[in-house]
Amino acid sequence: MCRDRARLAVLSSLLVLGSCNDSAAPGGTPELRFNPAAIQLDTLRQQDAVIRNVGSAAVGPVRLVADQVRDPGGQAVFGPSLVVTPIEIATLNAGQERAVVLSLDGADAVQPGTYTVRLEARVATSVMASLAVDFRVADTSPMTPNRSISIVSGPASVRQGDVVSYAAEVRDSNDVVLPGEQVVWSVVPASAGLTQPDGRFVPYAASGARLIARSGGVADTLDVAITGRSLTGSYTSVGRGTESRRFSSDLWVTGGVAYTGTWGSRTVNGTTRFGNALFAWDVSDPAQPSLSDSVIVDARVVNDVKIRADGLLGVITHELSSDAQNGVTLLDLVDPLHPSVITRFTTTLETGVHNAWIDGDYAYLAVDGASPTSGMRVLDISDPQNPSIVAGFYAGSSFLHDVYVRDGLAFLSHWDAGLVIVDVGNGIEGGSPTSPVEVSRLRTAGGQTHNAWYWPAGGYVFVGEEDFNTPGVMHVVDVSDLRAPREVATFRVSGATPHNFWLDEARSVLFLAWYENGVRTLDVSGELLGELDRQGREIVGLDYGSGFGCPSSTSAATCTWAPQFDGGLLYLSDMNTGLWIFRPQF
Amino acid sequence: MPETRNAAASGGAVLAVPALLLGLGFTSCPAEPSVGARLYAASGFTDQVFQLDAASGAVLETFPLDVRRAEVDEPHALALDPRGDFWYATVAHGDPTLWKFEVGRDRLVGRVALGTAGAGRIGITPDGATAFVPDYYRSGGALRSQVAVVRLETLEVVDRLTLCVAPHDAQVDPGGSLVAVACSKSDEVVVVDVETLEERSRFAVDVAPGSPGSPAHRPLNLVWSPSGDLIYVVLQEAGEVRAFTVDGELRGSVGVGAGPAQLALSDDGRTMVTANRRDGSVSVIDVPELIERARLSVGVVHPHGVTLSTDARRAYITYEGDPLTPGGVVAVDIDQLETVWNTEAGAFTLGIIYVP
Repeated sequence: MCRDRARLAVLSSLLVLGSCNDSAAPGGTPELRFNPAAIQLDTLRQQDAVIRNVGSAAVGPVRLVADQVRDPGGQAVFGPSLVVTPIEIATLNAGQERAVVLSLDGADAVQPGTYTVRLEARVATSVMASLAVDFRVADTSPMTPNRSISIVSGPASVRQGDVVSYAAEVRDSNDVVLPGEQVVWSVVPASAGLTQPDGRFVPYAASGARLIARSGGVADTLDVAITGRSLTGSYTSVGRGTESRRFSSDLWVTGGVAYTGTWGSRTVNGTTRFGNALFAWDVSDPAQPSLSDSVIVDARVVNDVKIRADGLLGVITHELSSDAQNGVTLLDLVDPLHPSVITRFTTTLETGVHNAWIDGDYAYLAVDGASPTSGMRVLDISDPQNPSIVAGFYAGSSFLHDVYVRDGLAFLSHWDAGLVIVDVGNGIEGGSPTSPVEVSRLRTAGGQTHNAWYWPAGGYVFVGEEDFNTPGVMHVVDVSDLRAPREVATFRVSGATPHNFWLDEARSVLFLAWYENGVRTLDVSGELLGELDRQGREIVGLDYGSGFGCPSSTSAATCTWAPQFDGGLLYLSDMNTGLWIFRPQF
Repeated sequence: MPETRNAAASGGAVLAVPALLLGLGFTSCPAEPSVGARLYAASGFTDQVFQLDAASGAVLETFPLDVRRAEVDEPHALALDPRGDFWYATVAHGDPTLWKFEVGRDRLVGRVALGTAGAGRIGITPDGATAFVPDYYRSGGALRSQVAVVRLETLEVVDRLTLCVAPHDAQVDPGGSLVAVACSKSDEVVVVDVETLEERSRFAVDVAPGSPGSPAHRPLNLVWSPSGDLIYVVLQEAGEVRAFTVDGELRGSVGVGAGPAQLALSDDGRTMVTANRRDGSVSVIDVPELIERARLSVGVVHPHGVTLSTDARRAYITYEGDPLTPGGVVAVDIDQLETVWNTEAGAFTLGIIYVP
């Protein structure tokens, strides 16, 4: 035995020394390069490139992320996008290379000019290589010296963020209007706003700007005065219900009761508590919320809580239970302050349910996993004592994170597969809750589609991209044609990533929970186009916490998970501190 | 590389020579792990891998396996490349993935999406070239789910084998020619040829198996004998370890504690340890006799994973905890049958490896 021990000691010594030598090995670092180093596509729309690890150590995963396309003035344009295949490379060993296919989608829908899009190779938060891709959209209007152009309609004064339309007429040497002639719009300075091929213009800066219309070597200009959007607002604190033992998750408020879920593990004063609880708060007096009851389940994450429109039935999600039987629990809310368990349902949901939505007699569930048997499950809850799975849908790749159902349409936040619109009774594709049918899908730049809010009256879906490495973007998707969704705008706040949203549709005010950045309050009235954060549309931000950490077991830092606007009040769940109630004043 | 890990590596080098002298000179041989030996344990709930000093149980470092910070990604299993170059981890939630780290520097060098509904344990061929990762898909009822086959040099999924219901473990025989898959919800073991990926044999773990999706015995994990002649399969519902030939002939069995999860076999094939999830115990088994030498209550909630020191004198057992208590790692002296240390390490702590 001891002889064996001696041999082991020798071996272990060598192993340890070898390990140290490896650690100290010179040049043991990866280095990535694109080849070619820059791409001039001109009027081509696709080209292959190569990414190579020229360093001396393996690296991965390498995520290939295309930024927004930018116009000659450096402004982000909406419509064209660089589609990259693959979007992630698992590993690149030293000396190894991988082919990358680059193709431009929607490039010719923009005005003539030369555009640039930057492709980055990211490893975690580091940009290890980048590639500039230029492409050109040709000006097809003939260079006719005797033609003329004049801007014939459109306002000379416009409010920041309002989309306005201009028209120009092109005439020949006989002063005859040439219908259908291409007109190229631009603005000086370029930072003043965004122009579109059809003459729409959205002003960014509250200043003067010169709008330019060009065609075949001639131009006309219009000086435009841009007034500030001048939105102001504030919040006053109304009340709060402190939960500092567990991290809080989602929120639902109805009929004077607020329900909050719980998440993760939290250790306070040496005691660890898990996300195994749903809390019911009496908020009939919003100034003094009081905890009325709780439901404890076998789970470590109760990520989501949703209440049926009649307020009588609720669903909470389970993940990481101790018996590996995850799923959902249906709650009887006849006594809303004291929820009681109807049943725990786990069949075909054992891997876990992350989010849920209730629409009529059905609960739509986001089931953990990334395979054809994962994705959305439709649970018939018409008989809550005996629920049953009646259908499923999976988008073919990545995983389903969240689901939002309205007007017979399910909006699936399907992570890197993008936003997927599914007919579950709308009729547009003949779908039903028992037979979901895909309508369309859109992968917004950056992927990581986390949550969505569909606004039928506005024709938009607000999409959250949960990216902790390069935060944080909300994408606006135009779904006026449900079969052809397209991204038309973004809203960015640096430093943190967005989480859940709530829209006050009557006033066109979007409340965005934004983790460490608290709540952002956005005016989404009218047509939405371009970079909303440059348009003076943010009414007010709300940062109510103190300290640092999101989530943090020990601090009271802002870490906003979910907002809900109800009865003139904004309710928030904060991971660190629980339930907050504010009165918006704007 | 984090500074703390640098310091640990340097310390290991300094201690290596005394370790050599210790091994040659001392006549007393207490049950101790190799100097510098590390344990890695996956905390499924806090999305971390804990690195512990095998001797003391001290947490040396933690590595995040956190694809999505506000989501539970659930690191599940760990495996050490037989050549000792890399260690691997599975993450079971979201996009189930296989992660690859360098041994020594503990630097992440790659991650591949498996394209499966989940991710269980990891079996690696002796040449370190190929991994088999079962999906342990629990939500499929009687549905046969998948085992991903991954080329480890490039981290490419080269195939997905649809074999049986909720496969949880896949282990390659010492010769590297066969992989045995434990099918947790169909009470069977499937043996596949590593080269051709064709099924070599399939057998039930009992003469009275449950129905697909409703197992009566729940074979969760398995190990091969050093000779490759036998497959030891742990049956969670039956509370037994059974020994089968590759063709499914039952060669023996032994009762262990309630609800065994993982099992580990010493390199010499003479000592086996099971982590008994339901009664919080550890069974120590003499092999090949298959006699339970001892059963020790380790006083933790839901023992799950188990690995052995190189000399098989210590067993290291992860415990999950439950929604009220954290998870961790407990070390047991197999000769003395006593707990050496117990270290809290995250929550829902599952897979564990020993790196000498």
